[in-house]
Amino acid sequence: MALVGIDLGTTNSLVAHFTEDGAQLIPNSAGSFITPSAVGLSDTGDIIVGQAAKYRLISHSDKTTSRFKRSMGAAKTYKLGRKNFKAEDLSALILRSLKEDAERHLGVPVERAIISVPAYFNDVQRKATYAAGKMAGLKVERLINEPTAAALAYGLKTEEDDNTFLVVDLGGGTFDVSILEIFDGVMEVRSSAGDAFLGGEDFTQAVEEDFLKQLGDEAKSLPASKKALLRDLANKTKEKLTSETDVTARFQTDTKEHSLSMSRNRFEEITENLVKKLRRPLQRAITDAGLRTNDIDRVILVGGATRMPVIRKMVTKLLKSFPEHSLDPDHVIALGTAVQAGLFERHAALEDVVMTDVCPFTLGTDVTHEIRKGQYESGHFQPIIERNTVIPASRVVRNYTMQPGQEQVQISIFQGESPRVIDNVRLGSLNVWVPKNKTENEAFDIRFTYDVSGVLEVLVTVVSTNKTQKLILEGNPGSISQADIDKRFKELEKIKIHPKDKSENAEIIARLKAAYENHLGETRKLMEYWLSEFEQVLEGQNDTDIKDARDKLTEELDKFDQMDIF
Amino acid sequence: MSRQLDYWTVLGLDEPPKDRKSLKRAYAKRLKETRPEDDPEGFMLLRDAHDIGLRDIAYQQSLHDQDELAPIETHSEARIEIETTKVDDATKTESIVTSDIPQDILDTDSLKTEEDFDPVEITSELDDEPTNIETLHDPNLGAPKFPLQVELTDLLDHPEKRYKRDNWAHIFRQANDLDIDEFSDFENGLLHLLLERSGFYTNPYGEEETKPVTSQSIAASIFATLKWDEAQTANSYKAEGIAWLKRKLIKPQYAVSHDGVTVPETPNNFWSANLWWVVGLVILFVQLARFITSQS
Repeated sequence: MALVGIDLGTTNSLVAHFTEDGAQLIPNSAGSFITPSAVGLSDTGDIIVGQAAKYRLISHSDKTTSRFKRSMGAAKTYKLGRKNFKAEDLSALILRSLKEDAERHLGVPVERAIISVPAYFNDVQRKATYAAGKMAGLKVERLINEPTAAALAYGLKTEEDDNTFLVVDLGGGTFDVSILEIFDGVMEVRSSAGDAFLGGEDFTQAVEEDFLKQLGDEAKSLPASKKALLRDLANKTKEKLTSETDVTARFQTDTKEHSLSMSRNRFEEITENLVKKLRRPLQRAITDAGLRTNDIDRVILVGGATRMPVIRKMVTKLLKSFPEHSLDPDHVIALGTAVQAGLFERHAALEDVVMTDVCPFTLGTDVTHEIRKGQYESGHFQPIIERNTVIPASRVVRNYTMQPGQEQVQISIFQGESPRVIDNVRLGSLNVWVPKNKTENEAFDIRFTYDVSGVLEVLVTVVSTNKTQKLILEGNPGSISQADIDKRFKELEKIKIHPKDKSENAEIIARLKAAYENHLGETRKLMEYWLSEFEQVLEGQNDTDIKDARDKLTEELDKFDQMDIF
Repeated sequence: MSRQLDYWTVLGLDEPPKDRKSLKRAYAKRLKETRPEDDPEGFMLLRDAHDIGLRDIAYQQSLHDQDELAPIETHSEARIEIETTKVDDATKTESIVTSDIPQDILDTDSLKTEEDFDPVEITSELDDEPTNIETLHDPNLGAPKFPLQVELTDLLDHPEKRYKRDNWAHIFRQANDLDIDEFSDFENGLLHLLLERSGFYTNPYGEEETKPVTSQSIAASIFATLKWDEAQTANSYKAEGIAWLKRKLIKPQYAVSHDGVTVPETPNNFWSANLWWVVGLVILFVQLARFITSQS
């Protein structure tokens, strides 16, 4: 049974495996390494995943969705047609599509995977990622933090030993910083910090908002498909600004054609507050590792969003050194997950490599303090595993009941850095029964064990009876039980993934419709003509003809796409 | 029954490693036989030995630095103690005896620069050369140099300035232009100044009244901006200073937290605690109103 590494991203997902020649990316059915993290329903009720779904965001906005990774483990649902899906379900569909791609490419069943998650993903989000894997029919052997994966991909390319490097990972939805030290084949993560709500999508959002301002009153009455089109234009504009200083996007509303402009200076202005958010995680990672910037030998940029010049400029300014990006920032994490897969399988080429990671946030419980005699105050945070502790780690604290005769203790588990639990993330709670002791306060030990995948186990032992109780973290608004996972697996299994060639045809139709929407006059007529031509070819059911028509139209449409942006 | 191990034995050495590098090398060698995913228990023990070793080396080094002439002869009794008294495996504990080694040699903590204040044009240029601060806590070393020191000192020297929020906002905006190292120095420098002016070095137990260095609400903003409220790594000098400063400067109504500081009940608690009473009262009232109207 083959083991693959998967980068399940906010914007794009990739799959890779470890071979004799090192980590290798696996192409999807369309021949691309990158599968957009978009999911939609076809007109027949099948599931469309990837590039075709990305195009259908514009043409079938009510049946297509993307950018759901941030809601992993949350209660939020996404509506496709009449069906509701949670972020785990949608992720499971992406994973299933990647699994099928890998099976086709490798020619063997793929039933196990290592999946990367943002270092700053909390326990709930990590468990949701496990669940998504199971729903896709994959056994998730372990999770790996994205910047750590990136460092694995880079670390194996370093010739010299004894290197300290800092990874800046700005993906579609999350921002992570990690500092690693390499010595004698050991890759040690010294510290990690991050922001779960900062990513390339926020920059696209800023451009989109500016475009809406430029549209003035017309912005208020835009239908969903036009909004999706505008988002797409905003994203293209953002990408184009990495190489050009002035970009103009053409946007067609029902009444007229608009020229939306964005200069690099304007872009810097509207994203100033986003760029500022880079500082704090960088600062924390460096000070937590006990370093100064000149202790860092290399700064590495990972994630598509680090292509933006504003990001490079800020990183250079803060760290006083120029960052490098010798590997494609979109590929690095997937390559790293494949290296982790190689490590997991004890691949001969990696015999002398060991990687250790850290827990990027503090984990603890709530406690009540006696602030004056007889006066108590609840809601204090008691850290048990401090942030940036090397994992696996196990720590124990001893607590006492508040008064003699108390029979029950409620222990809540929190993650975060605030001394007040109300500001931290609540992971779950458990009730512990203690023997009724009328003369003394009962003692109990709380043990936290955090494993290599970043999953927490909590054991509570009552000292006098030596009885141990284990906490299963459930009851969070977004958490799912094993029974739920099995049920969802069966439900999702019934949904068919649209056949590959049909997906590609749907992609062409979606693109033609989108182009039709965004043009008037001659061009619109041309799109209409191509659309009916293509539908006729499809009716002919001759695979060669269909493929030829598809290739030709793809080429033409690519030209049109480029015309939208100057 | 408990068994004690010298940390270097766990690292597979016959004697204490002489420097960080040899410790790291020994650790790397053992790590390949004790991988975290295969042998979590063994790894955790090895890692504890590694951490104790690092602290021991740093401690020996600090002794050496203090007295260049005195040769290092004794190694501290840094040991790992494995208790095997408990029968139940789940309650087995591994405790570490670190004797007289300070828990913390090098520690600074997180900073926050997200603006708490309204944006204003930045007018002044920085010409202060940033310098590394050797220590925060020894006032005998004289005033350390750090970015924005002149501005901060000027502010703190003048009561009419230091109670104005705008002046502080101005300094933090300038700090936003610093690089990571400079910002660290600025933050540590600010902490040092605030501690010094509040009497931490001269009057730590507060026998004499000292005038507050700024208003409570400004102090609370400084704490929030620099994230001084967040959990600081255990036993750090910095955390100690911050906790002291907080008790000194911030009174309950502004407090975000800490031992001995009360925070007013939130309305949230009121509703969750009293919801049923309220619902009950409303029902009672409605019934009463119905009764009255039916009577008339």
